[in-house]
Amino acid sequence: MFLVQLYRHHKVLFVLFVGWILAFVFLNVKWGMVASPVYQYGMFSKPMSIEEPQPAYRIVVNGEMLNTVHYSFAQRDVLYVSLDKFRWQSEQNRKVFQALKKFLPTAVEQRATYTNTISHQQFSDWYRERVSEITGLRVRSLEVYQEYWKWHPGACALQSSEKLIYFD
Amino acid sequence: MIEYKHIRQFAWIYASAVVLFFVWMYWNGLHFSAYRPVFFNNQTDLTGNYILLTGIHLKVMQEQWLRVLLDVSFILFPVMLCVLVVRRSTIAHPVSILTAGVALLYAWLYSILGVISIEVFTAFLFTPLVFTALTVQGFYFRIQILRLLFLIIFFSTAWWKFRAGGFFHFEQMQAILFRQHTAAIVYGSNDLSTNLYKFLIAHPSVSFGLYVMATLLEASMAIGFFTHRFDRWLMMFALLFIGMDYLLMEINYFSWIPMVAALYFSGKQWPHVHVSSQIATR
Repeated sequence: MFLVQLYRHHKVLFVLFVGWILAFVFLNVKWGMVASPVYQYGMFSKPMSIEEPQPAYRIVVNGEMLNTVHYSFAQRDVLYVSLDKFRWQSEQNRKVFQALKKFLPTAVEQRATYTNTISHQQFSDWYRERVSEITGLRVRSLEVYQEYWKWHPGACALQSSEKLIYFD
Repeated sequence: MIEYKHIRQFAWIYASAVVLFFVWMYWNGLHFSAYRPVFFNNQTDLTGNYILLTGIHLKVMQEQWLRVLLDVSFILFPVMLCVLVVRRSTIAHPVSILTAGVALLYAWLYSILGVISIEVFTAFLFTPLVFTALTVQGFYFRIQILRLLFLIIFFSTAWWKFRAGGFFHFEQMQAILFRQHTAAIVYGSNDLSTNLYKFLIAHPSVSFGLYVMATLLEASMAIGFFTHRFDRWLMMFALLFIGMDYLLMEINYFSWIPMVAALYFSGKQWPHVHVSSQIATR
C-alpha cells in the first residue's frame, strides 16, 4: 500500500500528507472556513434558480454604453468583479473578522488591518484608470448602474436599476 | 521506469505553466503592478488572516516596488527552481520550499486584492514541493502524492455538487450560465460565445446534461484512488474539464496543468522490488 511505503520512505512527508488529507476532510465536512493550503472546491454546487434575477453592471463611458464583449473575459472581470467586490468589501471584511477573531490574537481586535480605509472618490479614480487602460478611451464621464435582470428567452427583463453614486 | 529525465521534464512543465499563466495575467493587466489594488476583500482563511496580521496587504496597496517584487518573485522562483533541478543542484531543495511559500503568499494576497480566486493557484502551491526530492526515489513518492492531491481535490468538487444539491437541480447549469454571463447576454452583441450561452440557457436539458457530465468527470477521479490503470483517461477527462471551463465558464484553470501532468509521470513505475528491498535494508 502506498501509505505504508511512504511511511517507510519519509515519515515527515507521511505526516504532512496524511495531515493535509485529515484537514481537507475536516474543513470540507464542517463547511465553514478554510486554512491555506487546504481549501474547499464547492463552487457552483449550491442549487440555483433560473427564476432568480441576476446582477449586472451597465457601464456608460462618455455617454455611450460599454459593450464589454470586445474585451477578454479577464478584462471583463476587472470591470465587473472589482465593482462587485468594492460594493461588498466593507460588509464582507466585517463578517470575516467576526467569524475569525476568536482564532486570532485578541490584541488585533482594534487594529485597522482588517478594514479598508478607501473613500468612494479614491475607488472612483482607480476604476476610471482601469476603464481607460482596458478600453483605450480617455474617460471624460463615467456612469455605472447596478441592474438586476431576469432570464427570458428572446429578451431578458430588467427588474431594477440603481446608479452607483460614487461615479457622480 | 522513472528516471531523472522525468524530473527534468516535469520541472519544465511546471515552470512553463507558471510563465504562461503569468503572461496571460500580464496580457490582461491582472498582475499586481498593473492592477495596483486599492482595497481588499478578506476571506475566511485562517492561515491567510495570520498573514494579514503583518499588514503586508496594506503595504501592497501603497507601494509599487512591493507589487513589482511580488510579480517578479512569482515568476522568477519557479524558473530558478526549474534551472536548479535541470542542473541537479542540491540548492533546489530549499528553493522549492521557498518557491511554494512565495506562491502561497502571492495567491493569498491576489485572492483578496485582485480578481482571481485562490483555488486557481492550487497547482502552483503544491507542485514546487515535488522538487524537495533529492533522489529519483524521493521524486517518485512526491509525484504520487501530487497525483493523489489532485484526485482528492477534483473528486471533492463532485462530492460538493452531490452534497449541496446542485447535481439534483435541473435548472442548475441554466442558472449558472446566466449568472456567469449576465452582462454579455443583456448588454452584449450577438457574438458566437454569447449565442452559445443563450442557446444553452434556453435548452436546460442540454445545459444540465453538461453539468451532469462535468460532475461525472470529476467523480471519475475516484477510480485513481484504487488503480493507475486509467490515469491516461483521467488525464484526458481533466483536460477536457479545464478546456470546457475556459470555453463555457470563462474561468482559467490551465494553471492546474502541472497537477494533471502528475497523472502522467506517476505512471512511470519505480520497481517495487527495488523500493521494498531498499526499505527493508534501512
